Amino acid sequence: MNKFIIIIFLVWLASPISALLIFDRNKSIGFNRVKDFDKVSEKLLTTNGVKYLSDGLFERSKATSLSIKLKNGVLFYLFSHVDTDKLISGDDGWLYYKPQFMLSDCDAEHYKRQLQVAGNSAALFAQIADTVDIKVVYSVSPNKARVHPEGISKSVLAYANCHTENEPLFDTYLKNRIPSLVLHHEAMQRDDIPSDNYYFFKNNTHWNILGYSKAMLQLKEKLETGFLEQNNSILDISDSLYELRNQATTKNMLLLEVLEKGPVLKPDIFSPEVDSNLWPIEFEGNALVVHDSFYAFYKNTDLVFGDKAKLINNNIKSQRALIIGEIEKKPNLVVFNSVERFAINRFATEWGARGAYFKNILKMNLDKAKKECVYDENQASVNLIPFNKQGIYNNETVSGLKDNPRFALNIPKTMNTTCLNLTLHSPRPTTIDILFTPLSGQVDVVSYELGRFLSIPVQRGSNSIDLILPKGLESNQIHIRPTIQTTETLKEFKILFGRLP
Amino acid sequence: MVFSDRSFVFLFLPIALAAIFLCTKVRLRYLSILTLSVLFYFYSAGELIWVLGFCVILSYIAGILVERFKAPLILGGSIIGLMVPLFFYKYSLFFAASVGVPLDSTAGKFMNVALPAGISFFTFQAVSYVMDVYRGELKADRNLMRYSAYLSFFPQLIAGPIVRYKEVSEDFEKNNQSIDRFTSGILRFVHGLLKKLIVADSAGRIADACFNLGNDEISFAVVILGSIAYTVQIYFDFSGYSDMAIGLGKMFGIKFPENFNSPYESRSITEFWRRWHITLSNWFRDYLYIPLGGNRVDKARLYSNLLIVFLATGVWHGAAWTFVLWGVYHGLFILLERYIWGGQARRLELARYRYIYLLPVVIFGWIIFRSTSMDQVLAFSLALISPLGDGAFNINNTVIAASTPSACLALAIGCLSFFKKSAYPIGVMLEKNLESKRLKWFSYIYILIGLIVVAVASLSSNFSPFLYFQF
Repeated sequence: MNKFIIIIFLVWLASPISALLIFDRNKSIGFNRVKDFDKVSEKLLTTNGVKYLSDGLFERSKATSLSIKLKNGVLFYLFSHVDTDKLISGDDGWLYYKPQFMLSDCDAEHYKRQLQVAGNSAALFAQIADTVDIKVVYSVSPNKARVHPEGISKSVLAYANCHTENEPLFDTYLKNRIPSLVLHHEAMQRDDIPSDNYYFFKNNTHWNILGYSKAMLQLKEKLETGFLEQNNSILDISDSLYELRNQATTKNMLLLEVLEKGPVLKPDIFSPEVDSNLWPIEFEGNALVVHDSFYAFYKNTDLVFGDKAKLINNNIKSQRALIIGEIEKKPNLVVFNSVERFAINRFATEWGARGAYFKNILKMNLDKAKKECVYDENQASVNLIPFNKQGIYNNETVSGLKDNPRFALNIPKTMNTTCLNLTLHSPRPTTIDILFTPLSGQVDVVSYELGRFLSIPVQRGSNSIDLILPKGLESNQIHIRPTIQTTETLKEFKILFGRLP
Repeated sequence: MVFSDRSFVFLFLPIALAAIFLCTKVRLRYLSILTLSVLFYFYSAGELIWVLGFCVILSYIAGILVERFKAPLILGGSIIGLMVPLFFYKYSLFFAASVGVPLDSTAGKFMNVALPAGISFFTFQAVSYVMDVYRGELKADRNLMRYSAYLSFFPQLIAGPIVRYKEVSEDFEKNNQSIDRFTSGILRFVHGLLKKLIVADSAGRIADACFNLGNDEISFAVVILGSIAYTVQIYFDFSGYSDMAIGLGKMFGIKFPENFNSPYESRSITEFWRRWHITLSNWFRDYLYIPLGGNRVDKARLYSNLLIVFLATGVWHGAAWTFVLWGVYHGLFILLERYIWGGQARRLELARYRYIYLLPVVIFGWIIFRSTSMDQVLAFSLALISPLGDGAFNINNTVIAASTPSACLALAIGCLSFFKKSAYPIGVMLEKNLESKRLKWFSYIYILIGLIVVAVASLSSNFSPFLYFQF
């Protein structure tokens, strides 16, 4: 028997490596792709060499994924409690996605600034898009904890950081800055549905059909009737049944095939047989909807958005080039939808005035301005006022006393859309930032910075740039900030204001 | 590299076993042990491997010289030489900070270096070798490769047991491998892994959550939970490692001494130190206490000798005032038991009194040991004496988060060690079962279940170092 034990032990020692050779290799474990595994011989000469080698090998072995599945199965089914890097169990079977808490910022002032940048950047994107007749709407799908806090236990609160304190700040700061903002959690009031119904699955980070339908009804209302006060949505769940659904969250993060009962709407509000007037959402022209996994919940998007809308999942990296292509086609409506936990980052970067998509919008604006803006030929160049003694403007020459000097200029009181023409001669390719009046009314340097600026590329040599300014800037002050060093000058620098006919 | 990590269990160990078994000739066996151990240490400590090399060479040469010349000066010089790296890497920064040297000064930065893994262990092993040769208890080993293989042998290199050369020399000289010994080794190894992965790591999460709180968040309930969790963690972690080391040693045909003997079954602190980290206690007894005079001195000298030994024991564990305090704390109880309480101490040795004497004393000692500062010791102590104070039973959410149902079950299993009564520790008992026709099946089933559990836990877990690595 001792020999048998030894054989078993030796087979056991070799089992993970053997599994690698016998079975298919893991390309990912749930959502986590296995790490690249290269330069092994170099790594082996370092102290982490063996760990690197073993991680690379064992991540790919079916023995590891099986072990993770077994461990999570024991924790989930036997102890009803999991606590992994991504998931944490709450009360009453609720499973929460940890990043929704751990991304929250407990430095209130820092968090507010992040919100300001995000809100300002998104608002500027929408305003510039408006100058080329593209309506932009931002919508936010809520974190599950926002809609269903009843499952939040003390264990969950340990990871909560300041998410509860941050929720009202999130709403207030973004609403104050983005007029075209839809916060879907506002449509998901707990009291509107029976206590044994939920808007989210317990074991999934996403909403169920109830949550999705509420969100779509709300979006429909906002798009069709404008951003007025929301009316109560049409939703009958009094006779709701339940259907079993495989949960992607547990499958991908715990490697467990967990079936959960979720509500079925009675009647199915997305079925055209029920109410052919209800769907699809009506809007003028065509639309581009850039979304993440939340809007991707319901597969039959044609029913909801119709055939004039193109839906593209921003989470799929290969799709992002498509988004740029669709923006270039100049849709009438663009909807950006993000889950709450990633909204700030997305609004501040890729979906705001600092992102790749904005470059197309800006180009459309510059092209339209070049074609259509008219200027008074007798107009003198607008005077640039050096800001905080950072530069000198004299005889149509801009030079900096510091790198990237800033200048202020006053926008005239004349009504209607204002155009701005900027001519200059640059010794090298560079950019000019235009910083717009802070939405909050503050005039300190930092407030101008917080997301409300755009960058215009400047070529080497002579440049003539036309820009249609966002509406509502009359009598305000904007800043110009050329990206130059203190030794550089920009010559023949003139600014004129004009208008669209 | 730690034994419970999958990189060791499923990558390094199979290669090591294959290498040792292919190298049946003695010389090749030394070479393979040495090569594997050097690799193991390199992947644990990196370029600090030179410290191990220095220790090996110096102690090897010192052994030959003290045997030849029997000169106390050579002995003293070699011991000082062996201790210099230990003092520099482990204690210089502590002393410097204690006398006010700024840490961002040139001197401060010079002394602020990483600690070579296991330096306390292999240094003590080397010193024991030199002293045993000097005392004539063993002959100096002229075979550098064999001696190097002994001192650097990876199962006990990083965290003990502190193995004396005379205890294993025969096993190194001859290949004492057998099927029974190998099976016994598997059993101890798996048992150690279970203790570490299932009990120690779970209890450790709770303990860490308690001890990572700010001093103002420590309540009576947190003290109780944290101290019990750490009491379980440190025992299962360290004894688990020793089990693994002993098991690995057996797999390679080397029999190590036992290092733990159910210390929480002790009835007095005196007995506790005969059951806890036995090889360290024996080392201090043989190489510090006895040279200081042992029991053959007057009372005042005896008291001070005991305190010196326990002060050294505390300091050996780490360069911080908390370790000093912990060592002195235990030393005082030793004195109390031996010389102040006299016959009364025998009453405390009644089994039931261990719950009101031994365990509380030891558990409070672990609070001192685990605390990161004297302020924390004070905070825990004040909370401990305030069970009726405001918020005495408040528990921070991070502690609650760490106290998952599975962690609490593991902690409860660990707490059974407080109540257990047996002639042998469980690991030893399971080994002895292998010799019994009926009981061996229990051990076999234990191994098979253990292999499954360990595989799942090891392959699915992140890196979790052993506590005693820091020493």
